[in-house]
Amino acid sequence: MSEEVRHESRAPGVSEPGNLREAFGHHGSCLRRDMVQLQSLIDDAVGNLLTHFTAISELARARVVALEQEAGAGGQESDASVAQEIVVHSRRAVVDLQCHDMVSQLLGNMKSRIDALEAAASLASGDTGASQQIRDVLAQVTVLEQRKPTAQPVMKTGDIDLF
Amino acid sequence: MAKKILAVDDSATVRQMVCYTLRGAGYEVVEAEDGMDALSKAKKEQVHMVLTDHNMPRMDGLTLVRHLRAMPAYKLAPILFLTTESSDAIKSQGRAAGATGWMVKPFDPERLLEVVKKVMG
Repeated sequence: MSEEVRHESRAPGVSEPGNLREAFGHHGSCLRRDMVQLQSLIDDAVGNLLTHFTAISELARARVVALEQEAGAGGQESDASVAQEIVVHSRRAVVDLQCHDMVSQLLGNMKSRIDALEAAASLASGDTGASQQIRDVLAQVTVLEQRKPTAQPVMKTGDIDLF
Repeated sequence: MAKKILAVDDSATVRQMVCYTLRGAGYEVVEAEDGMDALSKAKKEQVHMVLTDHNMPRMDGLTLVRHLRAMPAYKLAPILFLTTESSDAIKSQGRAAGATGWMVKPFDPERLLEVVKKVMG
């Protein structure tokens, strides 16, 4: 049985009166835990990639200078081509490693929205006069969704505006 | 003497990429992890340019720019935003706060260097 299915079976039934808060709480906790795991995985992976990138790029920078000097001093044309390729790949790596910041911001925004949804569920299972409060909390979720700090679907470099 | 740039971002990864790019081109880089840290460092040592994120804990980029523009030492210094935010509304706020320009992440190292050279004159 998969992890997800086992969680599902332990979740309280939402059809039962008063269980809405418990069900939201359960699924909210599961989502939050998975988001923490996702953040941890990406922190670890990007941290390691940065270490390797820094080491490789330091070696590559020295090699690029040497290759350019050799090419300039009548060396093989392939030396200049290799130097150019190293520069292009390093540039691309700098762009892609910035995914760490974007993913972290999205996860932070998602966590805030789950917190707000849980608050709404908590109100829903309380007294009947809570409907306006629920609407207010759900409105906050909508605002958070609209304020999503990262809209980029791919790692394409962004626009530049000079005022 | 190398020109000094203050790089402000709560993401250590972005700071590392900015430092890699700017130091590789011969600039001196001072790092700050949010607006509050940046303001403190800008007061302690004069930098030639500020490159700042917008969404940061304690003090965001817009507030930082307003504080810096109120200081005589940074009235005319180039201040660029480097952020994931790309809406026209937030860019307008940046412009009104006194920013010199707005760059949307992720940045390309070569384009960043072109812009830095351009705004530093």
